[in-house]
Amino acid sequence: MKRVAFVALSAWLVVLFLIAVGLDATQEWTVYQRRFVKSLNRDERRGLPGGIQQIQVKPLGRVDRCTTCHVAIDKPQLALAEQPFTAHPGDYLTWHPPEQFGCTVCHGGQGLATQVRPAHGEITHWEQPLLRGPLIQASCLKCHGNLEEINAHVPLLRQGIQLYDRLGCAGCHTVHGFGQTVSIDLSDMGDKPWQLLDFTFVEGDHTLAQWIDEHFREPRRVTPGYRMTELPPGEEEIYPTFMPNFGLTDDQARALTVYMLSLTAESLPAKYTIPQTPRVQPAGYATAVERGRAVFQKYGCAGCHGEGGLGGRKNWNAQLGEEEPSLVYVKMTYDRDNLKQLIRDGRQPVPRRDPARPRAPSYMPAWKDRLSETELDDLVEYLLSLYESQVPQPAPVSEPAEAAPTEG
Amino acid sequence: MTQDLKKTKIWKSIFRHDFSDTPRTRLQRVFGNVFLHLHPVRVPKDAIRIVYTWGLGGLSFYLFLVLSVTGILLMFYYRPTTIHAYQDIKDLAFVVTLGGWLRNMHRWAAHLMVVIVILHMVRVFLTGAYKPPREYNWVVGVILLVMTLFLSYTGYLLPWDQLALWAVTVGAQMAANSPMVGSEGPFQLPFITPGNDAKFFLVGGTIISDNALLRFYVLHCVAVPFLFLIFLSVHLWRVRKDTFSRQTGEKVDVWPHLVSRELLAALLATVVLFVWSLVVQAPLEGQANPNVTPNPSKAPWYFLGLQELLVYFDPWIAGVVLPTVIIVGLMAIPYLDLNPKGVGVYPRMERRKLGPLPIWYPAERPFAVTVFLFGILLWFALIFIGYYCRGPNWEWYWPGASWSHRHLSKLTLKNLPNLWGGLLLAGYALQGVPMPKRAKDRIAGRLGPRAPEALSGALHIGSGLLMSAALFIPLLTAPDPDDPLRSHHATLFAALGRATNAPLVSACYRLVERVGPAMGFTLIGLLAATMGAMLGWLSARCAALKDRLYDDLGSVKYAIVIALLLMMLGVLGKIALRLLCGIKYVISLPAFNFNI
Amino acid sequence: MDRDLAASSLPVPCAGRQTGTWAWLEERFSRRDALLKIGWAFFYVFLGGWLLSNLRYLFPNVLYEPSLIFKAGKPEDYPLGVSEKWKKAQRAWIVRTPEGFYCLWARCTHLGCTPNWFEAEGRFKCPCHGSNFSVQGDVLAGPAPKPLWRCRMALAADGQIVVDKGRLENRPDRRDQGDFLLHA
Repeated sequence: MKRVAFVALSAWLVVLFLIAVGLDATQEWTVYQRRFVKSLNRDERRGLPGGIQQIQVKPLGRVDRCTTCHVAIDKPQLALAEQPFTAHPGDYLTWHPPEQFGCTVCHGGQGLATQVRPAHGEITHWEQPLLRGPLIQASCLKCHGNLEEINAHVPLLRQGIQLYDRLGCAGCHTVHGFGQTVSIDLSDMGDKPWQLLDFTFVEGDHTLAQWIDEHFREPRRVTPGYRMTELPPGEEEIYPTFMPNFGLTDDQARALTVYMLSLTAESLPAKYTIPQTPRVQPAGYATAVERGRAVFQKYGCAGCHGEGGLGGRKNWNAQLGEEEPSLVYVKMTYDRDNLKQLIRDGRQPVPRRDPARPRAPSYMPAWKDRLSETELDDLVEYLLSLYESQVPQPAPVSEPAEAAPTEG
Repeated sequence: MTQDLKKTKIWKSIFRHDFSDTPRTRLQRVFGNVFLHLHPVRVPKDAIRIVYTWGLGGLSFYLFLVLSVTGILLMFYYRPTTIHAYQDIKDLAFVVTLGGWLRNMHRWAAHLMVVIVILHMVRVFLTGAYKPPREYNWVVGVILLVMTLFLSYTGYLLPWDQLALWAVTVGAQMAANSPMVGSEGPFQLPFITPGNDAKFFLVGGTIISDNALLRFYVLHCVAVPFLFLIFLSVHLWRVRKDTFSRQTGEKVDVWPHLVSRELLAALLATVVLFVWSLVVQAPLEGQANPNVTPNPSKAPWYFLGLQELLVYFDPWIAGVVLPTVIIVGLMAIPYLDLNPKGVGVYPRMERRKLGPLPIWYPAERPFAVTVFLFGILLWFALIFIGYYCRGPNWEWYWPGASWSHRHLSKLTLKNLPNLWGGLLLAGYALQGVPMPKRAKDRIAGRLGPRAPEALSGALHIGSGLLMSAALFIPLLTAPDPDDPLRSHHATLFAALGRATNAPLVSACYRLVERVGPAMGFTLIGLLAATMGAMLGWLSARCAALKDRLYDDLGSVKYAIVIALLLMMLGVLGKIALRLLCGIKYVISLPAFNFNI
Repeated sequence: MDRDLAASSLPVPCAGRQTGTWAWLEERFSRRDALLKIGWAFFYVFLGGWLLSNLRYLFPNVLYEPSLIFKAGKPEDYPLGVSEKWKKAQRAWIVRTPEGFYCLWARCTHLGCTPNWFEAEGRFKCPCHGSNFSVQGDVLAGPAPKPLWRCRMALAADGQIVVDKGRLENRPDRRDQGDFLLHA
């Protein structure tokens, strides 16, 4: 009896050990490498490196083993081969030699891994999935300050930055120290761990990019808050996000998503980064009104008050049919000093019955620490001029913000 | 050729006997070999039956060996620094030949060892093998159990992933909450700061970083295994010196009878580990990030009972006092259990009737076996709750329900007013008061033969009623101290009655709403009185056992035993109060961090 | 050996007038016995001291982590309200009120996660277990057992605020006085 058990158990050990060795010897990357070698003729095979390949980039602290399967990224003659055997498209590798940059610093994914899904970072416990398609433009901002010079390669990123300025996002959000604190700081939006986000109402994949994208299209679908009926009795309502629905097209939403993904706290060594090309400063505006319009644009007033102060943003907090009043008629309600004071102090939302309870999310913040006195004067001048410039011609000027050069 | 080899001086200098199977060589093999010499030469046949020992002790030792070997191999590829550790584990999984398999083996062998060690303890308890002369070896065994858990805890940090960092953060936080030597615990000393407290000592800094990783690495790979080996030697040596607990049956030679069983058990364990390591990958989450806490972050399963206790008590009580009491209580068992029966056999279960229910009753050691098994079950029940019933924000989810970050339960938890809480505890403590034989005789002499029984019954039912009153009166009438700021309701009854997490109170609240206050409160009062009386009646039924226990043990041992027992049942009672009545703490003295 | 010890501890005949104490000592410790005991005493003193020194050895004197003490700039740099300037680097908020400054350690008192400041709601909220804190650091909701810790503050000679995160206080009566509230 014992002898039989002994034979059986030892036999099992051998079998299991062989299985373990066999599995180890036939990992995914070996399959790809064998397929690649088979596709070559005898001459081409000579001198071909085998085994696990890796690119070590010491300054970036990265080790990328992507070339273990993507064996031909530096062989332009294979440009038309299927993945993973194709060459890297474009001239990118000449400007970014792989031994200096590696792969994942631009592409995302998990460089250490040697299996397909883990390597592409499309697993539960990896924060940077592969940036597929145009999303890869988000990586360029890590180093490139000179976006104008590489314009052709980063159309979406540029569009995203322009949209961010035009829509007035800075009126509520801060990026790298500039902007208001009505809502969250976006400086490390691209690093946000997706596990902490609520995907209940997201229709697509559970990735950060997808969440941001859907949130741009329909903010209140993705973060609807809690209605009274969903809460235990006696609890106060939790409001949906205040983020307005800007009515973005697919392209615009994707452009903004790319910009958001590009905002990371990751700081690369100085020798990798290219400083921003100095922008041509506007030569100075002729009138206070024009200067004021630039101030309006720069500080993101449009985020709530609409482009050109025309209103149009839904505001969950305003009790006027959720519509933020346009600024066209400020002249009728305020004199110069009242208006200045209002902008300086902001308008805190109505205090709640219980001061310890949360307030509704949106309000007019105080600007006194942010606007200089001259900027304030110019801004007021601009706001008071809106009535003359807008009301006699009822048709709204189409996108007046485009005309205003942006700063910073 | 072999024969020639065996005639050389070298061969003879190493092997002092030949390997033919004769009675003489069987003995020589054991005492001529330093490793086998841990065994006696001959043992009683019944002592080594599989169905008696289940090979659990030997398996624990074997798993320790497996862990040592796999651990040493893993050390060749591991650097304990925050910039390298995570990458090294990834490398083991992805690019080291058989590295992932080896890591799986190490991880799963550790889990298996915890299970086997606990089972070994249960087996030793059930067969009474801790009774004289083996008390001390039981204590050593408990120390080895604690070390096994500590080895698991220190090993948990080494992969430097999110799972590791946050489990260890919570664990290290308990050190900061310990009394006197922790900077956030009760009874603080003025010179204890986060820069020199117990947590600082454990993690070598104020945050969990490089120092902590290095410290845990040294503890895990060198310091604790070193101590473990010392205690293990004592443990094994004592088994040999104190003899096996079962001494029936003829004596047989250890070689081959015991050695072959050990070999087979080790082979079986290895096969199980191989399969396990091939099928299930050891978990590895994202790299440790002190700015992001996974939600929920759970400790490894063997600590989940402890983590679940953290919900019900102040951190230092759940994280420091209760574990200490459990460990010391376990060690004290052989010195408290004076019953000499039941050594070397599993408890004989008699079938009896409890009212209409058939029960199996351990005839020779009813009290010891019941209490011990109840404690083990309670511990695993807590682990079950922590593992399967807790989701994001450590909220209650039934097993199988899907987790959601949107789930918003808004717990309403209220403290009992301290005075009433104190009364509740006093009533509870009264349940443990015995009536010694001497007192009984005196009372019987003075008041008649039936008086002791009546008095005891009155005491138990009275304290039961007291407990019920001390619970229900404040629940129904006390004002809600949070009223202006955090609560809309003026009384505890209204606040908890409208809450979703206090089914008992909200049932009462609805009852009052439905039938009106007069009728409702009367009904609740009746219900409370019935519950109290039933509780009293139950403990009165156990009074005879208690009194016998007191007479057997004497006052000191009785006090220890009953305190441990009441504490164990009290944990259960507190869980019930929290889950049924929404009571956060029974007594809350924030000045001393005393919240229970 | 044992016999020697027993023999030597026999009472020695007293010579002349000796005090009772001296006689008792003679009786209690004979010379050889005393030597042995003193020897052991030295040994245990060494052993205890050595163990204690090892314990002390395990408390590092310098740390390669952000210092617990940091300089937070001049008081006039801070507007009224909560400043998040030091949260990333020092895990602390500096709050200015009309009465003065205090510094909150950005670490949830429940199990040590980092809360976030929500200006609009006037609350600190912990992402882990939903604890909410007021500007003063008091618990408004969630499982946290006690208020956020405040750090000791002082003015350095160069006029900068010095914050010591090693000295903490959260008792409502103590935290608004002395070292934990820097008067403006």
